[in-house]
Amino acid sequence: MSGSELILKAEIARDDFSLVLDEQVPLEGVTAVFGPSGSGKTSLLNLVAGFLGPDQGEVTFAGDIWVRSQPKAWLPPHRRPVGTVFQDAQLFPHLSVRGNLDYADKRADKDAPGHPRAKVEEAMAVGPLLERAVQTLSGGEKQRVAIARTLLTRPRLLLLDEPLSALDTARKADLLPFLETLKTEFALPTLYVSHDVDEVSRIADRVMMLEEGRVIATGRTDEVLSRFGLEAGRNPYEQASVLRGVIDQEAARDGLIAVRIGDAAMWLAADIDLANGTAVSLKVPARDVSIALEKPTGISIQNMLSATVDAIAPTKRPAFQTVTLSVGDQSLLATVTRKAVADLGLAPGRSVYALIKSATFHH
Amino acid sequence: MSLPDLSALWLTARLALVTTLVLLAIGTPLAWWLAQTKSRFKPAIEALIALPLVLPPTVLGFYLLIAMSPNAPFGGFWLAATGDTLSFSFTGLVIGSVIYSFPFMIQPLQSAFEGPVQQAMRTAASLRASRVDAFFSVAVPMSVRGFVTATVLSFAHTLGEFGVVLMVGGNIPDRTRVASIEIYENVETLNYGDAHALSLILLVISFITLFCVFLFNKRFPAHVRL
Repeated sequence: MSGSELILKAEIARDDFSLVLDEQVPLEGVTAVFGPSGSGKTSLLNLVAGFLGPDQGEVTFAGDIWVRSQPKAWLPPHRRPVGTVFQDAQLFPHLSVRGNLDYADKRADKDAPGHPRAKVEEAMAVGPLLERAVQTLSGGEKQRVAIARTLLTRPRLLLLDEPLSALDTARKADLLPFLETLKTEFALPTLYVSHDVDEVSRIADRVMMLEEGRVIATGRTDEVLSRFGLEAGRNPYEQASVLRGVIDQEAARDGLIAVRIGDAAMWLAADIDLANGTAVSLKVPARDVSIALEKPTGISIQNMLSATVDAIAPTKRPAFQTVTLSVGDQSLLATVTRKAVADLGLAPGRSVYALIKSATFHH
Repeated sequence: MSLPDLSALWLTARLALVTTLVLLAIGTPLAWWLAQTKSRFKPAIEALIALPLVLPPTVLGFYLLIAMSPNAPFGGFWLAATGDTLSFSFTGLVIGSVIYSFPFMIQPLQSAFEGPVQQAMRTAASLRASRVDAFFSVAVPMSVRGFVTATVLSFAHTLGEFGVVLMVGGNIPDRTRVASIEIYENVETLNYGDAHALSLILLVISFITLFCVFLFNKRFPAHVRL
């Protein structure tokens, strides 16, 4: 049975878009719904929230049918225990901040498990804003109020529709910690719609990747992101992968931090102090990864990982190719010239060494 | 200048008030429907509602008069049901005025209900408000300006109508003789003094009414999308 899953089976065809889903989303942690604009991310949220009905299919939450085409079943949006935080906060303009919170609080199902209002207000730091008119709030403040308001409805599932997209970089950075608080303190299963790799890799546990109304990949965030060579940079040529590892303080030396990745280790210069065993993510730009057939000696590059060639794909620049490497159970991308691929005789299955010229902590 | 017969003025006020209330009751759901429908009939219905803006009141009044005649199905039904004819009655005037002022109620309401209010309805639903709850707790307060504009314009427009009233109601004192017709009557009979007095009263009332709307709109800005 499906006690702990969100089942999304739907076919929706309209003049201007279509969406086909057959997914089972575990009801824990944050699942990013990721893809370019127009890929159907918002339609997916609307389907779950009840603002869009499927032509065919069903949405079942932890065994409760929210919508089904055959036999017909429909739970209207306001009866679904879903909390949606919209892109632009959507605070009610005719109510103060307190009025907006009251609105949700009054209508919440008091029998549902929830958190005390004081805790919600504190977690989102909205206490000082309570008497303000919503028009006077900054973008980040609005989103915090919107998140608090949604939490007060005592949702069992959270839908975040690009909550950072209306904010500039500085405000994004201000709000991100609150999203992390949301994740750790309230621990609600969450669908997080985004087209920003940075946000996704920072917040999501897993990714459902959409393109043109179809799910093209699902899986652990780092896996999916690196499989598609996705990286924070705006330059579409600039690919990167994310390696996950743990801090190994015993191996630290000469002022470098050691990160254990599977059997291997990497050393990085970074001005942070992390406890032994802390899980970290490293972002490695694909252009900073070189490939050697044998372990080189007499070279200044310190970080070399034993790897296997998984796949070789063209890039948008004809002279370059993207080589996907397996490092243990993780993927690492390297951008190398087509000539190098030919000269080294790289092919899937080939054992190589990945030489990593730079990596940054990804948090 | 003696004080003119104020019964026409009183009748006008009653007519405008009743018409506005009826329009609010009919217009609100219709404007709501228009604001959110994707029906292919929407343009046709909008055109129909806007017709009184361009049609000569005599045309409207002529058709209404025919429909209200005891020989016509509608007029006949009314006579059978109430024992009274519609034409040349206060009720007939109300029906004529409602149709005549329809666009003045619908259009401000419809534009108030569109866009941000529809999105706010979704937000309200996401906060567990039912449709009815959300309508009264979100849509109405967000549309206050639209309601005020629609109500006042409908009221003021009904105060000033002439052609439809003349066609449908005739000119029966205390029953269908409204201020505009009384003025016409006074002018026809060269009773310029009363015509002046009534005209001035209507002018001042209309100005004050509209002035209040603009004052209100200035103090109560339309809710911008947040």
